[in-house]
Amino acid sequence: MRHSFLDKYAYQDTPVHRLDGRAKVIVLGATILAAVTTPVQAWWALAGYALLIACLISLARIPLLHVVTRWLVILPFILLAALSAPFLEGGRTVWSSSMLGLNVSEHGLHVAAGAIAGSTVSVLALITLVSVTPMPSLLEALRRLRVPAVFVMLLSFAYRYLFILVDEAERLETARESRSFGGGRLTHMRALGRMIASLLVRSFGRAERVYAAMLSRGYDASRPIPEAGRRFEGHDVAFLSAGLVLVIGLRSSVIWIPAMR
Amino acid sequence: MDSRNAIEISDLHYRFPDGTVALQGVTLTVREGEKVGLLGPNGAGKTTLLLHLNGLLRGPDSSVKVFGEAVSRRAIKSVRRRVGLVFQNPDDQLFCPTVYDDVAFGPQNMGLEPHEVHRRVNDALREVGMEGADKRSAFHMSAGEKKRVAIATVLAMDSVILALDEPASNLDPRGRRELIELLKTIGRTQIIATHDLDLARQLCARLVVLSGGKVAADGASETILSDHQFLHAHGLA
Repeated sequence: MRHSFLDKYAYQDTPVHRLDGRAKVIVLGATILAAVTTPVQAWWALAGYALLIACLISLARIPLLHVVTRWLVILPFILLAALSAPFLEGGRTVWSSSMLGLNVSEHGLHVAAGAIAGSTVSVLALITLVSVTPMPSLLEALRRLRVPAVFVMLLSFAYRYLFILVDEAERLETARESRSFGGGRLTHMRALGRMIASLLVRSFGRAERVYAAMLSRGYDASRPIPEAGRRFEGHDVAFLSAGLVLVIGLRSSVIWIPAMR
Repeated sequence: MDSRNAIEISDLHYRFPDGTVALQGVTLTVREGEKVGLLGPNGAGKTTLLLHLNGLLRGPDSSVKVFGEAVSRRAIKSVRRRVGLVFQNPDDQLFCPTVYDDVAFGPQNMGLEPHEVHRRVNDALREVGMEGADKRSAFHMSAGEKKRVAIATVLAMDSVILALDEPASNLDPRGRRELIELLKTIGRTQIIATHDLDLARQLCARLVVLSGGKVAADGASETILSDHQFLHAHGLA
């Protein structure tokens, strides 16, 4: 079965795709770090990060729709996380209901808006990163940036087995579908629960077999693997320094927020 | 003929953690360069026996020997280098994002220099007829291609003994035919666990029939495969 991979556009040949994975990881990682720590009052900084990402997307010729649809998948989670923020205490009360016992504060609204804007920028940065870097290069970049090997391996397995798991789930679903006749919502939920349990058990079995295969080929978690990789070139250095200067500059500009002066 | 014993198994017993008996007293010797078919119905203990060959499962220290060396905790690394295990499902064997990474995994763990790893990966892929596939992802390959790459992952380690678990399962007739041809050309000592009698006939001069965790027969393929009544009694016909 064919799935549209997360890194569907990662194998194009554009200036952005040709950059060293490490440079992209650092610049976009810095963007995320900056975005989540920038208060919403410094809206120009948040807009700046978004603009940087937009430039990368357009230079890399990634269809905007691809990025937006993936962002929409994450959006409900962002909204859910921001849901309670308006009721934080502090600042002027904007709206209150004695019946519900709830107060919406100005400070709370700022926090909620900041959370939504910050995580949106972060998610866009991540989508961009995986769209302009093939997964193997991304993993290599993380390894060479000294990310602990266990994390890199986890990510690598997630990428390798995600679609196999989806295939398996689809097969289970087909098997259920072909045997279910009517039945109410409860029956359906029960079947779904059993399906999930079955998927878990199968994955557990697979994990054991994969680990056995790793041991068979001499896997030893404590041994680092020597690597010969490409070196940073001129355009990598240029991108890295320009990106970092821009992000750090924007992040520092929060001192111009009127209330913080 | 002056060939050494590649594998010696003497009175091997194994019981699963839940108490089910899997092997009860298996004794078996495989000479270097031999191709031995390990026949048996589902649940006969074929896979369990293969897992003992490279120490993934271990009995008492003296029950399995590889080129005279007991498969003990201390010897585990050299044993795993010599015995290349090819799992039934290539999706278990190929766990890396690219074919190159998968084939390089063993050599890298052996601590080889990057250029040597590179050479071995290329040689192994050429040997199984998959040269040029190094950047591809296993997810997008056919069952036959996956199987070839899975075999390359152990060839790259220079394993002298190949232990293959149901190599032809899930392959279409052409994939199966090509796999048989491949196994004929790559030589080495091979132990092939299967219940595919025709594959066993084509590849192995000697067969060992495992049934209920015991060796039910050990002899020339022709003799064993012509005894229809015996095969029927052990769920193979």
